[in-house]
Amino acid sequence: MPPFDATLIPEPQDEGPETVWELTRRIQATVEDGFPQVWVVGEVSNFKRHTSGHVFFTLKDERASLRCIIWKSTAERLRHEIADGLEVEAKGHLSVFEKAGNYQLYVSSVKPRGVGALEVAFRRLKEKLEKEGLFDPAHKRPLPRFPRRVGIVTSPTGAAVRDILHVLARRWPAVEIVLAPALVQGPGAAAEIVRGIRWLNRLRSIDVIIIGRGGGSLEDLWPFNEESVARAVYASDVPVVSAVGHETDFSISDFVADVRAPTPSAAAELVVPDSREVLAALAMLSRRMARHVRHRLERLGDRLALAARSRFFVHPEELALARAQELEDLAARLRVAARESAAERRLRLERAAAHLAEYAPRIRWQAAQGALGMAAFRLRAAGRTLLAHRWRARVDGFAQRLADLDPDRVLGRGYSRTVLERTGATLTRAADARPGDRLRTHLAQGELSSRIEEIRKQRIANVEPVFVPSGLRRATQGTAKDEVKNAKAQRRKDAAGPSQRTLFE
Amino acid sequence: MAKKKAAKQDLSAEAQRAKAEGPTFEARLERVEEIVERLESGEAGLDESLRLYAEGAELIKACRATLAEAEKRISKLSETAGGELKQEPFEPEESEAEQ
Repeated sequence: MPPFDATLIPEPQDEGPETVWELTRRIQATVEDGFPQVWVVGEVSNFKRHTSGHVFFTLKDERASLRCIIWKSTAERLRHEIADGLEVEAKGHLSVFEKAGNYQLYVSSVKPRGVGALEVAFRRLKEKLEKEGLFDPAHKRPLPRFPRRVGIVTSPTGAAVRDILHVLARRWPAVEIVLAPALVQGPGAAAEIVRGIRWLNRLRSIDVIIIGRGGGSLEDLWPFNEESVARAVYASDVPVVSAVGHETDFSISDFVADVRAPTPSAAAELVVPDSREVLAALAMLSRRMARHVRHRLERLGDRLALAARSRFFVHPEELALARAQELEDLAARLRVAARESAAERRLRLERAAAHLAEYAPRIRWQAAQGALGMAAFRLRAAGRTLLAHRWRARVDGFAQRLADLDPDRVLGRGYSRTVLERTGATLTRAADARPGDRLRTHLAQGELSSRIEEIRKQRIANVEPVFVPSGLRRATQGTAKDEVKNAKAQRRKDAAGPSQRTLFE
Repeated sequence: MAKKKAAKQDLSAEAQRAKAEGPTFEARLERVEEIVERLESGEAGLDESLRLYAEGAELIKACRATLAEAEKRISKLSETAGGELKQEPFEPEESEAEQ
């Protein structure tokens, strides 16, 4: 529309008529000034879309009509279809088309009257369902990261299904797709959409559902604003993505769904990951694994090599040598130790033996008495048999003789026992001693320590003397008869008591 | 009654299907991530590390195989007279522009 050019208004003339154009222009100015903004309702008729792109129609009611024109650029942006018979509301400004001599409404926006009702219904339902909690974010579920099967509820012939399939094939070709076909506009569409959602739930193998359709008017998209569809989406066990119309279109199903996608293609992008990205991630994981294991093995290899270089692996004989050396040292020490202790021990042993020998007679006598006592005990235990009686007599005999032989008793009768200190042995022969030897003499009570001054060898009868009298001389003089008697007596004693001799040797 | 029965059958079919398909892609990927973490922690001994590596390599191979599948599987649902769901192969119509 060219801007109003004031210079084109002819100056009013003093006399004579105006031209048609002059008059028309004056009317045009008046109309434009008087009706800069108009909002009118009427019925559409004579609707015509010109080849130039401009749209012409007439708005009329029972009594009047108004010509309308929609400029091409405005007509392209129209959101609603205009058709004859439709009741519409139009906004714009009035002007005069000089050539035809008529006034026109230059339409800036027009929409069917019925749409208002739809919008009200939309708002009402939205409030109601929101209050019920159908839009609650807490009810929304996250989409599975790697769905095996994607369900789609849409028209099998529309652009939406093609777009979705295209994007899915590009991103994740391995995914399985199940289409539940449905009308997506007009009567019956809502029921088919609801059915589609239910069918996909029944399969129990679908991981995520996309419902949607391509762009269109509010009426076209209306099925996705129906209460039945909203409730079906809410009741779905499978997560639902709603992708209805264009980015700027918001449907009630968008609010109820688990996720809203601005377009069907966008829905496909949301629902599967990009296999290229996942492959890259797998490659990275694979590299990390391999790198770690390789490092591990290398480190172990290093440790092994280091250990293998150790002296003892290279020269194992050195280890044996070292050990052999140690062993030799220990053996030497052992020998020394053994020698010393053997010498020590022998000394101790000799001393002990010497000590013991001094007291041997008494000990031996005590041992003999012990043995006899045991025999007597056994005898008593054996009972009063004749054999036992005879043995007892013998034992008693032995006991008596033993008692007689008690060194201390003998000592008590005046005899003494002399020990040669040099050897520690009891002296029975004067020839065993030498002048100057130290002697120890055991008396009945006490001991004497003395030194030999003189040796006198003497024989007493034919019998080896048992005692060497000291200080006291035994009466040995007598007749030869006495001698024989004594010798016999002595021999009898010897025969009967061999133990006598052993006691003192 | 018939509805309940159908539901029961659906359940066992679902379980059967899950069994036949084996671990999901997601399960495999998560296991690989677990393995890498365990390896990198340094806590695993040499034997275990080698075993884990073998397992991880197998899993990665399986994942890659899944991603390499190019065969399209698209089907359309319908209901038989008996009320059962039927799946048939589906081919989208070519758009006018593509023709």
